[in-house]
Amino acid sequence: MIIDVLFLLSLSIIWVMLLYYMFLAQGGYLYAMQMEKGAEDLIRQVEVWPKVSILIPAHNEDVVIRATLEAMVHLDYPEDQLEIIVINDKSKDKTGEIVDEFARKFPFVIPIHVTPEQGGKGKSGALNRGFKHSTGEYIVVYDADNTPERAALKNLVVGILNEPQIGAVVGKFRVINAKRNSLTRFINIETISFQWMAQAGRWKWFGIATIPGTNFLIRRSILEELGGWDEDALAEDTELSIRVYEKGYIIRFWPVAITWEQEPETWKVWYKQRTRWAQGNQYVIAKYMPRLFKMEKKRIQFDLIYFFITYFLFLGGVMISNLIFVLGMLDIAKITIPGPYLLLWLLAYVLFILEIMITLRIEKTELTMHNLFMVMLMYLTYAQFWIIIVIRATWMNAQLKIKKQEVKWEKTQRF
Amino acid sequence: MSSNKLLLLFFLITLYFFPGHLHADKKPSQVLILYQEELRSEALALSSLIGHFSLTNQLQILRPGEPLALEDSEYVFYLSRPSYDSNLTTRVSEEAKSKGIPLFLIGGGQAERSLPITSVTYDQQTYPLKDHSVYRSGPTDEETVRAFAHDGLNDYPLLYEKQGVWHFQSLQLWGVMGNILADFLHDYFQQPHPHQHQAFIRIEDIHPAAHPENIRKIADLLSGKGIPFMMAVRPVYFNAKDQLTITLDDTPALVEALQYATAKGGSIILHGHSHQNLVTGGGIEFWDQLLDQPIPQEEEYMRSKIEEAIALLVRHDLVPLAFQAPYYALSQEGYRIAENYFSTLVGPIQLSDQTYLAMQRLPYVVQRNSLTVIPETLGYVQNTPIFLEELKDQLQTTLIVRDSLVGVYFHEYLPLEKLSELVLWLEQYPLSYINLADQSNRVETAFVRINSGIEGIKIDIMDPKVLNTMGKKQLQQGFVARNFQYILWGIVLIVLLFSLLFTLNLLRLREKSSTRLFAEREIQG
Repeated sequence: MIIDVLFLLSLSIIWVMLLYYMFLAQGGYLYAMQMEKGAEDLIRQVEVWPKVSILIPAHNEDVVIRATLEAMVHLDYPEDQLEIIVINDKSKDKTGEIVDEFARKFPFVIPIHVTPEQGGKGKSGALNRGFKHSTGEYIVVYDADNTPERAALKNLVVGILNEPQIGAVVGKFRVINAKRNSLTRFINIETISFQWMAQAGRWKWFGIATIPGTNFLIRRSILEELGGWDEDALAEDTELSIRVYEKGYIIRFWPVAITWEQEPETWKVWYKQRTRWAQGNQYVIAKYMPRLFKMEKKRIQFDLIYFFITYFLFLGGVMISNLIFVLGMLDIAKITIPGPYLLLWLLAYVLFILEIMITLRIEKTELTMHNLFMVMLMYLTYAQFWIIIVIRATWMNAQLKIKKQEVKWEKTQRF
Repeated sequence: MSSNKLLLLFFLITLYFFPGHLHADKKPSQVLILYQEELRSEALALSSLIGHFSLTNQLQILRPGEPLALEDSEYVFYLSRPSYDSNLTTRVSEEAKSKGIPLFLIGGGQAERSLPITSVTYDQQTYPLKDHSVYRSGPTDEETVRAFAHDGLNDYPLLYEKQGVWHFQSLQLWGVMGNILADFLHDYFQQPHPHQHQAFIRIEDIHPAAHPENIRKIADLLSGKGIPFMMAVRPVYFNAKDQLTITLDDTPALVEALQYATAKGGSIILHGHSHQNLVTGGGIEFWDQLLDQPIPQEEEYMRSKIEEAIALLVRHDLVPLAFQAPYYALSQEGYRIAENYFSTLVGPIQLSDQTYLAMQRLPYVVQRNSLTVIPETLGYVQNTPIFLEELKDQLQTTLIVRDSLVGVYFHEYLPLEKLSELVLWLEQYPLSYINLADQSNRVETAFVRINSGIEGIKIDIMDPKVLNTMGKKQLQQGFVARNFQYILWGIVLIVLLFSLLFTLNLLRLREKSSTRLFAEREIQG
């Protein structure tokens, strides 16, 4: 009896999520078709480009920072309207030297060297510091490992020009080291499908997108109004997104602005990074759930509930479902409610594959036999690690809460 | 008055109503029933009849060459066919005589052959019979004859005494013949119970799909006549067609109607849980109808169903006082299990574990181990214009026994006029209706204990949690589970449709990318 109830609950939660994602996948597809033409027409129409400040927080990034700055200085944008602010955040390697080298060559590259005594916490701290020095009407953020395409910046800008209700524009990121190994292939597939399903899908149906850590543009006025980034938030981007919506602005998913970024090449690094993200998102949920019903913007309420379901209920549902499966195999407890469960399980798998195939197909070059095989494998392996990560993140957050410790920003290792 | 004395008074009054109760102050007599092996059912039937007389009895198969255990017996009965070993009969007679134990021969004894008869006469009343026969005895000169059989030409002794030995020249221990024997046993055992017929009307098989308004009307009609009545209730209704299960938890209107009927003098009898067996799939809850044998896991199944059913009733303030097995069918073990919960059983008794078709309809209340068995003598009201004719024969047969109980049952869905007709008809006879609630009944489980008596009904709830949760509808039977399946199939459909849509999307994307590749080539070219 109790097993039946638990099973029904977990099945319901799981399928609510699966159907929601199915719905998003269709939205993503429709949006991709809509964006097929690109933004070239819009770019042609611009007569005067506004002043833009690019913020690049860099902490021990000498492996990648050169390539990043190389891409930055080659961005297609009027130089007098551009400043590239690199916040060299307490680096102990050659990051500072490389940045200074570029600054000498290109007057619009502005280095800010932060020493350990100056304090400031993590990425948010660095961004806030950079923001203080900036003068642009629009602020763009890139991670230190990003190499945006030449047109990326103009594309970001046209996404917000003459659109006063839009507070921020979010571009698309692609994985530069996708073919390195199985892990990077998985990540590549994951990031493509995440962006086309969650970002594009939500944007299409609900007009919602979330700011990722990189490749986005935001109005200076909004940042000033909001007082910058929350330095306690590990997922400063998600947190910022909610506040932007609360101020009454919209965040636009604008996949024509493309950047390429490096992804972790070892499971250990990946595991740490993902745990940090999960922890960060849980922080956001914990911060905003209690005032859910006081929030004015319905769509962000909806999005918070979605986040809550993902990180707590869905996790519980999957765990219970797995537990019941194991108990059933051991003949300890059986579900007595009849239903097409095997069929549903198979359909969930088919749905997963089809959804991801579409998103890969949108990217034109990504739907290969190799990737298809990876997708099929992913459902049973990579996707399941998510459970462990969320459990670990929950556990770590619980400990932080108990010990009243501060969050520690751990930088992702580059390759 | 101390509580003990009150109890004694209560007990004595109960004895008045139920002559079958044991006399506590007197050691019960031992009755030995010897029988020819093939006559087990008849022996059991006789044993039940003797259960009316506060006498314990034991049964023994008599085979040639086997010793007889007459020692502790005060009475000996011997059942045999006339064709059976006559030396054995002689031996039983001689041994009983030498020990001074009265002997009663049932069946042929030393009779010559069986004769078809058309009527019997007992106590100056003649009862016509069809398809009956008696075993003809030898010369009848010096006998005391209590009953005669007639074949249209001659009289034959049916029940007589000869040289100190009583004879009953038939093995038909039911119907007219059985009742003649049952009545005579009062004289034989010298227990002259008062000549007073009792009666009950039982509303049969009330389940959650029954009509509450009918119950109310029936209750009004009977209480208007001052007639206490019984209601056989099962708390669960299972409809095999749409797999729908409803319990009393789901039917507040029926619960209220039953409470109303209880207030109007109705006593509730537990008529099983759902009347059906979910394991065997048969319509008889505690007997395997298909294989005609006891159900598998009998004790576990019966216990859980009985306890659930009691909980389902009591938590709605409906208090069962007795038990009536669905279809009356119970194995001998089943009776023992029922004894754990109930002190009172209603209905015919299943004679053996060989078949549920051999049921004994007793004429009077009997004690069967610790169960007081209230018989059901007339059967049921049929939905025909001549239903009273059918009942009339049964009534005449029942009235043969001086303290018989006239029991008849009525289905709630029949026209109410039938019940009025029945009541009017029964008014012609000197019957007093029993009120179960005034009599001593015990229903006991681990979570609730019910006692009834002249002081009324007393309910002790030992475990309210169990009482309130046991038998709560399981999801798989319930509304949610059924509809959940539809939802699941709905999801399957939606997902299939979307899979189709996604496949189309993929094809469209492929088309697009190939045209664009084409365009790119053209530009390059």
